[in-house]
Amino acid sequence: MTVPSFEGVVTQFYQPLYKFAFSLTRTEADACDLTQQTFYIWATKGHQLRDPAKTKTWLFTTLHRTFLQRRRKELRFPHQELIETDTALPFVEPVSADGLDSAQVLEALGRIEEHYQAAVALFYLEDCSYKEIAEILDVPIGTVKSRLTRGLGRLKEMLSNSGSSGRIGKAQHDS
Amino acid sequence: MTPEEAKRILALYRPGSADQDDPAFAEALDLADPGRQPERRASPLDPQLSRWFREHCAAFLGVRGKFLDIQPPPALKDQILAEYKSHVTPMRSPRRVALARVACVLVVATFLTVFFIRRAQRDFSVYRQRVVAQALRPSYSMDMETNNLAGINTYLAGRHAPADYVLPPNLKSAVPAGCAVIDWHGKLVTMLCFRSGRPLGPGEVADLWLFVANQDDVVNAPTSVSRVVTEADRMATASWSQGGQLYTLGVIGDEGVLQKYF
Repeated sequence: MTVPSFEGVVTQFYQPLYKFAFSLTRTEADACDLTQQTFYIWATKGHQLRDPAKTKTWLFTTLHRTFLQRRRKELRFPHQELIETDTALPFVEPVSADGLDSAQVLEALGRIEEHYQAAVALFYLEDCSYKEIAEILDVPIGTVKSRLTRGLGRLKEMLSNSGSSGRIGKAQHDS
Repeated sequence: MTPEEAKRILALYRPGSADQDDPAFAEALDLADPGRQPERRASPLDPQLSRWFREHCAAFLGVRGKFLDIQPPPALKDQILAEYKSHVTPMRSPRRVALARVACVLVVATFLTVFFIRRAQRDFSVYRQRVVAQALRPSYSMDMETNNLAGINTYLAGRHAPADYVLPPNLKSAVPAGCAVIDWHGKLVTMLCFRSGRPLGPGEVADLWLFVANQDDVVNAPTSVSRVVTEADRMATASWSQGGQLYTLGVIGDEGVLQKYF
């Protein structure tokens, strides 16, 4: 199998990677940054990948690890200043009267326990097999399935709440 | 499999994905998926489960659609490519890496080849052939023709050739005829010429030679005073090392003739 060019890899994967990054960070700036960082790592270390068929899994794994590293750093050195308030504002979208939208879904995803979020996002976002999801998250398939079972349950709860809020919000607005 | 068990399994099923060929879902799909081909179905369809399954698929596709609505900023791709061009050195493709490896292997192989060829050229067996050939050359000229050994030593020392040699005890009875300094891969080798006292052939000025070289200049040289004796080209030679010097005594004749000088 021939190795795709850097531009070829970007063209093929930047959208799904961004979607995954956005589902984890829920801010456009952070998702862009994470996606760019992933391709930067690919540019410098991608040649070490022996099997080009694994490019997709490699990129998703790298993005997820980079996200986790940043999260750990943030938790070790939490920023409680204005920055957090500023970045927190854009993704708190008003509840749509027409029902659930992407923002609500992502907001609900963001409210479930962190270790379920990546599994649930990969479950919905990409046509990754369970084996690939396990590789990306670096956990056994059984762990992926148990995380998904719990994570999807929690997501349903959150979406129900969002839906209820939406309906309530609409009712209040109408009245 | 009960319908409840099937539901638990199918809760993780994603329609339109690779899951439809995943054996982990096969049995549950038989019970729930009306679209499954009859010949692939191992169990009869459960109508109630089938309704639940339809709702599950619709719900999944609905939520998946929300995730797929996420769109990257239009400039993101250009931004990534621009950053790559300005900050990142071009990625080493496996082809380039392979070429670099081949180049490294060639350099190392060339180095080793040259190293071993040079080493082989400086081998003791080559050295011995060389000095024997030098002695047997029909017309070689000595740098200095004299029977004065002290004068020979002074000349050799002036040429920075080995001059602090030790003669075998019985060689002192031979008559010095002169000396020459020969080149051995850039190193100097002393050639002492003697007359054994036997009749010389026409044009011959010596029939007994002692070559002295630095032991380190010859690869695989004898490392002790134990003599290595050979006979070749009507000449017998004995080689040994002593005090860091490599000695090769050659005489026209056989080993018997040679032995009387030790």
